[in-house]
Amino acid sequence: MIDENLYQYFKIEAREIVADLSRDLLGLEKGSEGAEPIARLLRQAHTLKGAARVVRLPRIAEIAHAMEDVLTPYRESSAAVTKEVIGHLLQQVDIISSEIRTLDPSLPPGAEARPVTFEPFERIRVDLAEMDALLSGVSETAVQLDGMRREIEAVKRVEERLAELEEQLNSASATTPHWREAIEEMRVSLQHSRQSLATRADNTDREIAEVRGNIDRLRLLSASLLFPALERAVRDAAETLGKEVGFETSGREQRLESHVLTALGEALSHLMRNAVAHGIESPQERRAHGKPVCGEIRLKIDRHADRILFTCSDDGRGIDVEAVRRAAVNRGALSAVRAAELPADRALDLIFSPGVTTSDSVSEVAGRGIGLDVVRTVANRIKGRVTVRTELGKGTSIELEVPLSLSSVRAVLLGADDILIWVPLEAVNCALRLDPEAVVSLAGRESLVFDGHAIPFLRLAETMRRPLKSDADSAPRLAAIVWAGVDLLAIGVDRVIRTNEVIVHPLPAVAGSIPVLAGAVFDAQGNPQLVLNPEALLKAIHTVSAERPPQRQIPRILVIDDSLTSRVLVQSILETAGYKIDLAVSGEDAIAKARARRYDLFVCDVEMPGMNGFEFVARTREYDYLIGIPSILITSRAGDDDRRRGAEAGARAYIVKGEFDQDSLIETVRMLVG
Amino acid sequence: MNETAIGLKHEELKRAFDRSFQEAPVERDHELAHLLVVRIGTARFALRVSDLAGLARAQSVMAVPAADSTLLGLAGLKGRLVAVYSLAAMIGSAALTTEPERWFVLCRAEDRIALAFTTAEGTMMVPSSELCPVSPGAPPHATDAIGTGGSQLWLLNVSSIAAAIVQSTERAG
Repeated sequence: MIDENLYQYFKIEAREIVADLSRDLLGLEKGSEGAEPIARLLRQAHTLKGAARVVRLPRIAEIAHAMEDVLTPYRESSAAVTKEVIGHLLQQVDIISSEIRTLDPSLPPGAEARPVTFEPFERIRVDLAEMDALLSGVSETAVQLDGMRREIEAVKRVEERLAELEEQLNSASATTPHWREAIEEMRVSLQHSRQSLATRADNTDREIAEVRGNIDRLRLLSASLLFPALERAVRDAAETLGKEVGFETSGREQRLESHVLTALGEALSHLMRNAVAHGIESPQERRAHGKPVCGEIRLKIDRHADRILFTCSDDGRGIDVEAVRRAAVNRGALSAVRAAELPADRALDLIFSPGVTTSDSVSEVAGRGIGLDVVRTVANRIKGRVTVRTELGKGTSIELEVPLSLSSVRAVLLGADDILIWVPLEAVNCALRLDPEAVVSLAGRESLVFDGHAIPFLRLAETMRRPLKSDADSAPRLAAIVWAGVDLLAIGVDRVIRTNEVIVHPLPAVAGSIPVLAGAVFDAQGNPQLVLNPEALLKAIHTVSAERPPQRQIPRILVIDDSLTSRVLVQSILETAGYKIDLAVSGEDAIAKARARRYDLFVCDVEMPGMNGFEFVARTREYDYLIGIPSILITSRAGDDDRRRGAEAGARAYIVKGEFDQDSLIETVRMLVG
Repeated sequence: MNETAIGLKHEELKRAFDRSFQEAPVERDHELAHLLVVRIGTARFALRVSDLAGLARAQSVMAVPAADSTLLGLAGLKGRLVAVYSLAAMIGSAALTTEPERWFVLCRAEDRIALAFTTAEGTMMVPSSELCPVSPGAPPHATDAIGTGGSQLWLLNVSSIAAAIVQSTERAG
């Protein structure tokens, strides 16, 4: 009787060898050359044979031995292994897989193992480097703790010294001068200990956070684990149907939780087989349409905030929407009238209905209308979404989008006041120093002019629906320019704290829907920090703007007068009334200032050396950057001619200094700029 | 306590422990309800311990931009994210306190929901016969009243509060 534990270990090892054999055989078929692939295959078969004998599984040992017999002649020969031989060896690998599955104790004796493409990813293999990083983090934490213990000893010594001192002070020797030195010594020692403990506590925090992240990361598996089986599915389907199909993948760096990976493996293998069976044309048909004989299937994996997107595309014949409508009606999925009414994209969705197939015949690969039904069922099970796009004669692209329960992402931590938030680094365009004047109000919403375009601007507090602080100290100093899909938005922050690889946990469903958050990250103390979903934030901005009462933009006024007294007088009156004031000492100075900054109003003296007030106002109607800005002239000239001249120059108001009073000036200004 | 006294106490506890196995089970003439007494501001409420998956001192609760004002935010508990709701708000008694809600219980029915309150006062065993039906004017989710007059406590149904939260998030979601 073989120990059940021994079977457990054998199953792990055998499954890995089977995956390696499949991968290397497919590589050989694609053209891997040289003695090394053959030598590797022989080693794998030999190892499997030995292990199978140890656990007394003669059938597996015999098959592995037979594979060695087939491969051995190629070790010393320059002859290429033929496609037929590779096909035969792959069949042997399948039989071994089947035998391994019969070792599952849940199967009743004598039962056939269900032929599954994907074994559940129940165990993880950890790279030594990953384990080393984990150990190193733990060791570093231990070092920090040792340091803390030393400091605690130092504090203890100070306590002892203090006791000695107390004793001295209580005794007759209290008059001795040593107590001052002793106190100074203790003060220095305690200060040193405090600083050292604080530093070590910070270091320990950082190390623990790192260890925690590494452990979380170990739970995630590389998406590339799916690729060998999918490639095999494409290869087998193509061979069965007599087609030539290439298979390309991208996004192997994405890491996912095992249950998502297992579920998707099944769904994606159906997509692959469907693409080969229904998408890719026969070599003759492709040739006739001027396409390369070898069809192409691509699997692309991308991550978007808290979701991962699998795009399976082919360059085949595309899907005939009318044929889908007919198939759905024939299947009884809906009436002919309803089918005809459906818009094309909705009609296309019918291919995911049970039993709906556009194929005239059923092959062992596809045609029963089951595969895509399975894809939708799997997607629903893991709260995913399937969409299809197609173009007749060009190909089809099916997107399978699923939410991530855990994901590893490189992110930057941004802060403003006491608010911290992580933003995925891939979404960050840049961070720049923020000129408060660059924030303008457009259509009742704050915007920032960036790269010649006004983009929505939000303070970090607004993204988190926290009240805005009004004091100048809390004004954001930086703007993080962030991609939200294909658009940009700016987030006002105080500081960019650090970038890190972080593990994003999904928000609990019982927290309700909070679309602007992609999830949360745990800090070293195990407390959550939030992760922003910029795309959802942009969508929410209109709502936020609608909820927020429009902020009054304080008009900025340029006061132009060569007299210091008049300048300061007007400045103080208008500032008291709540306006922002800049000063210019001449018309020329005013032109230069107005070129650099947009003003809402000019308040201008008439008699000035150089350019006088009439001339300045006239200029405001000539220069592009001054057009539209109203002017008020303030002068001691009270004659009708002067008033008319002012009006002709374009002044909107004419105030005579002799008639001057604060209220009328403020009223006039309010009338012009609010 | 000297060595001899500790030895005697140890022996006494050992005998009591052994006796509890040897003696026939005591017949109980009434069932006891095991309750946790919590305080919200100055008002006290009771929760059935069997409805709870845990009691914790509130860690830092991270506020989130959610529309639901009863949701105080998120907290991390043993490596899991939990949604922290204000118990006071859930029973329509938010006005009872302005004190920070420093404690929370995890609901057994939905262990990602934590209900926060001012403080946990302790546990008590109450004969079921002493639980009285609630009168009109009792707070939402109160199932029973314990005691009378000024010392009366409302017994809150934690599972019902959790169900209300789940229902509300599903409706909003």
